[in-house]
Parts: sequence; structure tokens; C-alpha cells
Amino acid sequence: MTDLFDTTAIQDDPEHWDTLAARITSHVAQRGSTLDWLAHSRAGFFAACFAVAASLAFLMSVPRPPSTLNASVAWTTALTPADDVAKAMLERQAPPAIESLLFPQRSEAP
Amino acid sequence: MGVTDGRRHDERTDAELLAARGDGDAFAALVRRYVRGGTLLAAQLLGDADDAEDVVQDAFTVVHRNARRFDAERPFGPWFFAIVRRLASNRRARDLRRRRLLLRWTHSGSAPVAVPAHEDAIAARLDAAAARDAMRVLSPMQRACFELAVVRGFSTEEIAAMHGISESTVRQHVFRARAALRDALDPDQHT
Repeated sequence: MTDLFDTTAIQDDPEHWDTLAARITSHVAQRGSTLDWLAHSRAGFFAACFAVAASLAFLMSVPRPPSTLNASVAWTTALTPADDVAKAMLERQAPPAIESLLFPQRSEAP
Repeated sequence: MGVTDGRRHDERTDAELLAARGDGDAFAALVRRYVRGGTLLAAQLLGDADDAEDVVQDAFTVVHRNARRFDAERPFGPWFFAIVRRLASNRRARDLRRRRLLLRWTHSGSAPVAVPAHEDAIAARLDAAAARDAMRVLSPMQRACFELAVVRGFSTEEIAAMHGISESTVRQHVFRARAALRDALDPDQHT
């Protein structure tokens, strides 16, 4: 059997118990109202759904991490041709005239 | 003055008050009805008034949260006091663990063990030095039942619900405590 302690030091007047009861009631109501509202009310249900949807939207709208972007730029740079002929072929919709490739100064002149 | 002091404020039964807990006044009436018994029980189990009040507050939070699970066909008191006993037991075990850890860290020689002070406190109330000697021979449960019944004025039914024992056991504890005190206070009665 566990020890049982003396309780005679505890106040035993109605005012003390009323004060303690009021404090406990207030505490329980404060905690209970928030939890109950979330758990049992229709508005609470919709609020929880909205919060989840907003969180997902936020996560999806966040830009990709810089490391991924840097890798993409690095690959693009590496694959871009460095010589003039290849650049001219890449930048235009139609293939360039052979003359412009062979004599770039003449073709650029007015 | 017993567990049911708060009944004068509200004539509804415990189950009705619990069912209407959304109404702040109903739950407040239920708290008023059981706060005294719950706190004194927790104080007997823990030995500290502040801890006892914390435990009772937690117990009412548990009651409020689990009110839907309460079987209205059964009495509320035993259910509530069982919650108080369980929470007090958890807190006591937690405090014991902390005390052991503290002792390990500080390498102190001996644990500061709280000693039940029933003898001195109740004897002081009874204002009889002989009672102090008599109280020493009582078991912890005899002292607890005696104090709740004689000093605090709880009924046998209420004490049984508080400590989770039968009413006949409570009566036995109180009877034996009374007999021991009577013998101590008036040793010549048997001669």
C-alpha cells in the first residue's frame, strides 16, 4: 500500500473551493473550446481542410531550390556550342545561307 | 460538508450536468460538486496541495474531453475519482523518477523522502497528546479514512468512491481507527 499523506494543512472553507472550482472551470473551458471546435463543429472541419489546402498550395508554389537551378544553368552552358557557325544555326529558325557562313563580313555589310 | 456540497447550486444529477457540459454553468456546477473531494484525495495521495490542485484540474480536463464515453447509467463519482487516482499515481511515479535522477547527478547520500504527517496534524486538531500515540498504530488507509470521515465529514459512500474501496471496508477502517483512539484516550475503560 502506498503512503497516504496528511491533508489537514489544506484550507477547507467554501470560498477556497469556489475559487479553485472557478479557476478549473475557466481552464477547462479555455482548452476544451478550441479542441471541441476543431474536432466537432462543421466550421472547424472546413477550417482544418482549408489549412491543409493552403499548406499544400504554399509548398507547391515555393520555387525550386537554388542548387537545382544552378545545375540546370551549368548543363545549358555546357551544351551550348561555342563556335560562330553552330551559334548561327542555333539562333535562327531557318538554316543560314552558306554565303553568310563563309563570308560573315560581306553578309553583314549594307 | 461532503463531496456533494455543490448540489445546493444545481439540482440536476451528475450525468445531466455532464451531458450539458456545453453549457458553462452545468460544467461549473459539476466542478464545484467534486473539487473538494478530488483535491483532498489527491492531496492524500501526493502530500502536496499545489500538486493536488494540478491533478484535479487535469482530471476535470480529462472528464470534459471524454464526456461522451461516460456511461450515464453508472455513478459519476467513482469514475472521476479513478481518474484522479490514476493521474496522481502517474505524477508520483514521475516525481520519484526525477528525484532518483537528481540524486544520481548530485551523488547525494540519501533521498529527501516525504514522511506522512498524519499523526501530528490530526492529533493537533483533536488537541489530545494521547491521540498522537494512538494514530501511530493505525495503518495509512485507516488514518486516511478516519480523517476524511471524522475531520472532513465525508460520508462512507463518498470515501469508498474516492479511494476505490467498498463501503464496508471504509466502515471497518473508521471503526478500527475509532477503537484504537478510544483505547488510547481512555485506557481505563476496559479495566
